[in-house]
Amino acid sequence: MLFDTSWIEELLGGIRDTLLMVGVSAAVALALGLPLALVLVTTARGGVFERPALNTSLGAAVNAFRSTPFIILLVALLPLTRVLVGTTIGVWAAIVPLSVAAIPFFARVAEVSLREVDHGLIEAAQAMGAQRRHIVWHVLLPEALPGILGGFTITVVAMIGSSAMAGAVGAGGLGDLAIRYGYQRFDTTVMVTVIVLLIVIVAAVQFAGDRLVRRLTRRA
Amino acid sequence: MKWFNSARFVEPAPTVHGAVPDADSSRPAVVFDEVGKVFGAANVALSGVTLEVARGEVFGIIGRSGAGKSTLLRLVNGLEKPTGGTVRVHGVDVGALDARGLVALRRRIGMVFQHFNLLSAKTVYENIALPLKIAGVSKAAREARVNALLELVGLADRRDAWPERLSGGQKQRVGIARALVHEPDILLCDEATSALDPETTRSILALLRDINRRLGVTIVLITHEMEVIRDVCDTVAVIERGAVVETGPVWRVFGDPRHEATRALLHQPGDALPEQFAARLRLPGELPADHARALFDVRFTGARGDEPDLAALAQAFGAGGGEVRFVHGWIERIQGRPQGRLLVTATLAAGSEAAALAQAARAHACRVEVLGYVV
Repeated sequence: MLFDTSWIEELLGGIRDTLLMVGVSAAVALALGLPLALVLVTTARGGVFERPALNTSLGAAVNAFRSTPFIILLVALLPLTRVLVGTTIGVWAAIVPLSVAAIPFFARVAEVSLREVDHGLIEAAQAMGAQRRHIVWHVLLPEALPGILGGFTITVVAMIGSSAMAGAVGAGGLGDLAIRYGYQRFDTTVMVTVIVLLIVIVAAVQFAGDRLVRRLTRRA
Repeated sequence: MKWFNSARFVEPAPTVHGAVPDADSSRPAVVFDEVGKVFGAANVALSGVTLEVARGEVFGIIGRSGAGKSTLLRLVNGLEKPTGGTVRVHGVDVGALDARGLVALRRRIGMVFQHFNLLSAKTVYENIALPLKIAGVSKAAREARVNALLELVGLADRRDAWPERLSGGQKQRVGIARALVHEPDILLCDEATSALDPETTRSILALLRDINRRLGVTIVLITHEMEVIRDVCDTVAVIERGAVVETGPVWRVFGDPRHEATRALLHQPGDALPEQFAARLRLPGELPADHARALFDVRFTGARGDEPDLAALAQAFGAGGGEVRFVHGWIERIQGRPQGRLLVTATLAAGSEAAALAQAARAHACRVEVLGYVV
């Protein structure tokens, strides 16, 4: 047992699966969450595309997804997953609920950064003859960018945690490994290794995110 | 004029949609006609405001905070819409413009803000160039224009700096350059110097005055500081609780304030009676006038245009053979017109009356009043 190294191979596969799940879902969250955040901010009362009714219903939908526990979402979204990827097991099947959970999460985080852009800047842009799309592109996005990237880092870290749960329904990844070896077979070595690996991955993501934010805010 | 020649007409001025510019230069730049603004159901910000801003002048709007001056300024470039009356800029009704018309109008009106409102993610150059960029002006033309403006505001060496690295005065210079980048006819200044120290305030005001004189840009500014009005404005309007209470040439309003709100804002140095006199002052009628020294308030409003003639005044007050003393006062020049206030005492000889002396002195001052008697 002590020299059984078969789990090392599984570990490598687990790392690959986790990175794939989180990477693809993070990309989807960024691609869909950021536009969602922009819609939430600009359609709010006083926003440049003010549409209070749309804003309220969109906000309610986002809240609904955010208040559903991920483990429930995982199961509830099975029909959608089957339609989108043709199967309900494996890495690609986990990407669907992971993305669906991350989009509203990231949208809310990015929304806060966008909303914090000084209204005076928007007014200055209006006064210089900027149209609404100019305000979004030249004012809202660049001014909120450091905050948005910081929020994206938080989102990715949270997704790494959620991806472990996806492992519970047969998606693979490090979480799955920890549960099978550590929880079901009491193999502490594997479990500790997995935890250390997760810590390293999270630290790396956080480090990269912080560096990027610092680079953007250092205006020397 | 150098920047002006090199940069002007590099690109044709943006076309104006639904707003044909009024070419008649004798017409006012901005006309407020019975303008009202109500926020929500009953929050009245402005009511019955009627004003005319002449082309090429520096027009100051002063009032306490919350008086409605900020709203008034924002009506000029359509950041706010009036709920009553009309605002016309070069003959164009701002309230009636659609989105495209507003964009075109705003490219002819620059605006400068109290807190500068510079984009932190863009350099000085990018901040100034942004209005041109979104208007679709070519890169070469942008370069020429922005470089000329950097020269004008004295920041050529800070071209690639980030706004965070600039002092308040430098930030406002960037704000001014950005506001001028479309070569506007009108410049709106929203408390442009209120966040600056006195020295920087003076240099920014000098720059604004320079821009007004050299480029002929009409400036409408709002402030709560009388010094700003005195230093740069030609005309002033005093606004109080959403209504204009007094308006006129700066020298007239300063020299002869007619409304209480104006007087409250003015509080000139030397307006208050020196303490030892205040304590010894008796109002007319409280004291037998036989042995008293009378205290006169002698005003120069600027309406006369000449300096106080001290010899003539002394002769008028000393007509009864009494002693004449200059107790307190100040004289300053606003728009070249001497104005101020002198407090003079005269001992009253037997048979002479204070009212008669005041009457005699009126030939040499704008206004003379008997304040009382000094015991």
